[in-house]
Amino acid sequence: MDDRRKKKKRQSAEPRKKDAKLLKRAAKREERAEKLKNIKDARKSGRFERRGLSLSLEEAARRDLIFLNNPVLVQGLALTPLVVAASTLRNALVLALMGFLLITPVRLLGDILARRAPGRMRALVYALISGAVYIPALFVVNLVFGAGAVGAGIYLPVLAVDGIVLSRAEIPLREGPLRALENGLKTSLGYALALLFTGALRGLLGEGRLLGSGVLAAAPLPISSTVAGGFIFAALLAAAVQLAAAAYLKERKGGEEP
Amino acid sequence: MSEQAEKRELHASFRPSRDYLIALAPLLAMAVYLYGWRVLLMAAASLLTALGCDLLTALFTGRKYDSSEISSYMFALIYTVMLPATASYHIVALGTAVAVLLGKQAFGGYGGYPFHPSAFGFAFTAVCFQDEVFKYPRPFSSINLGLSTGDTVLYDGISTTLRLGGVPEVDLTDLLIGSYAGPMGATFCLIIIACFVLLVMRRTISWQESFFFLLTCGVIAALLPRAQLGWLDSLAYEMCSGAVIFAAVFLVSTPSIVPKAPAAKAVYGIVMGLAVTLFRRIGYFEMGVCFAALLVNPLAPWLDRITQPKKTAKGGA
Repeated sequence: MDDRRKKKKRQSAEPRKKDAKLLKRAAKREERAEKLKNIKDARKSGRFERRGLSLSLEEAARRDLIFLNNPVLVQGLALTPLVVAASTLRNALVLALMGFLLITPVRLLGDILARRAPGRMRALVYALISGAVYIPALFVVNLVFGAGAVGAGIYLPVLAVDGIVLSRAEIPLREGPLRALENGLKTSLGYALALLFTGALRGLLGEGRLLGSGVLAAAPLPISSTVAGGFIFAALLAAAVQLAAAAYLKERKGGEEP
Repeated sequence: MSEQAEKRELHASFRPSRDYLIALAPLLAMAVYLYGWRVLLMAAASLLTALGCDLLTALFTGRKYDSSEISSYMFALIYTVMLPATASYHIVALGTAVAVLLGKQAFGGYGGYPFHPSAFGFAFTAVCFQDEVFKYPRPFSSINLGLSTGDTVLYDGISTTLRLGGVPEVDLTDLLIGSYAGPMGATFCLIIIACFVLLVMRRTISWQESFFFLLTCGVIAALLPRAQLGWLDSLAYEMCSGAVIFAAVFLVSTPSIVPKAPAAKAVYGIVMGLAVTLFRRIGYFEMGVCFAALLVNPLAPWLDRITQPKKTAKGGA
């Protein structure tokens, strides 16, 4: 008898628990719908405040792939070549050239050729395009740098399948050929700037040399040319860039407020 | 009255850091006795650098500087006493800055770091300036107070001799009191043991991790001597060199890093002992304790987790 009463009590309690869950989910759905409605209304009205920044400023920061949204120092893409291989300015130049020759063409061709590919195949299509573009790019790099390209080692082919080249595969929205070209060039430039700055500084501090020429009498910080130093450098540089970006956006936001 | 009570509230790091600083004082005093006033100048340089780093951090983070947060001074001095007395002032400052800014503040300040900041700073300067960091003057050598230490003759440490298969020419008495060429504050075994007792009695550190660490190092040293030595001589040389006993007290048992569970502390000590022995025997640098600390310190939270008894669900099968 007691068991039956307990079972009845449990059965009557369970629907109540289910109701509560359903109510909670419905409330969340309503909240999301309300938020979307507010966003659409605000966009129609031309001004929208989200996290204290105007949409135009936030969008501008997101689209600035050179400084404010640098692909390496803010987004964290292609860190391995920067940390390991970019220990001298020469290696950085090799990687920067390869970056230019890979990122923009792959982004452009990927936008055109991968548009009809189903979701899971997009990454494969992008990787195939990248592999195909890598071969002539390597020829050009060897032509320009000759034996100097050896310094970048395995990180040249690694760049061909790095996120900085293939990340667009994860976003199914088309950006159009012109936008793809623009974003590809900006990404390449942002990547090149990060590489060149890091390579120059690490070469100077780690070996006292720039492009093979001795600049300093002795290397002030030999750890800079090691991988450990590369990690520390990348971290400090990323922190400095993000700090500067945050300060710039804060100042701009302060200027926009009435 | 409540305002005064609030004002007197000290940072969580104050008590353990103060105890460590008290424990480091006799080591510094002995180092001054053996190597001269340069030791004090190096200590002052490291303390000033630590203060500057803390002020810089407060400026960048927008937080008020807390003068009761003195852990940076503790890390600065621990790092400094592991250096030779002839190390340049810029090495002292650089290592301290790296230890405090990158080893401690970058991880969110006291208690947030995965490995000992002093070990990190030492490893950094060891890689950068290994010739300066791993060559030591003999006690009572005359050392310049200036930027350059002049013609002071420098020697390899005992660990290097052992690694090359040689027999160190240091007798047991000198070994125990630290009167041989080595890190300026990390060779005084008897004083360090006294510091350990002090810290354990004040409940600043627990004894388990240091005990198991030394036990592991001692057993391996006795069973696998490196040079043509008896097991007792091997034990003495291995334990008293390479800052092993110093590490047991000041690097291995730091309360903000070690595991909390007793079983985890024992395992941590054993793993640290194995790592230190490995680095000393087949590592590249003379003092492998700092590199071993960088490797093993981050395991502390995991060791706590795996040694905790698993909680079963109520009524579960």
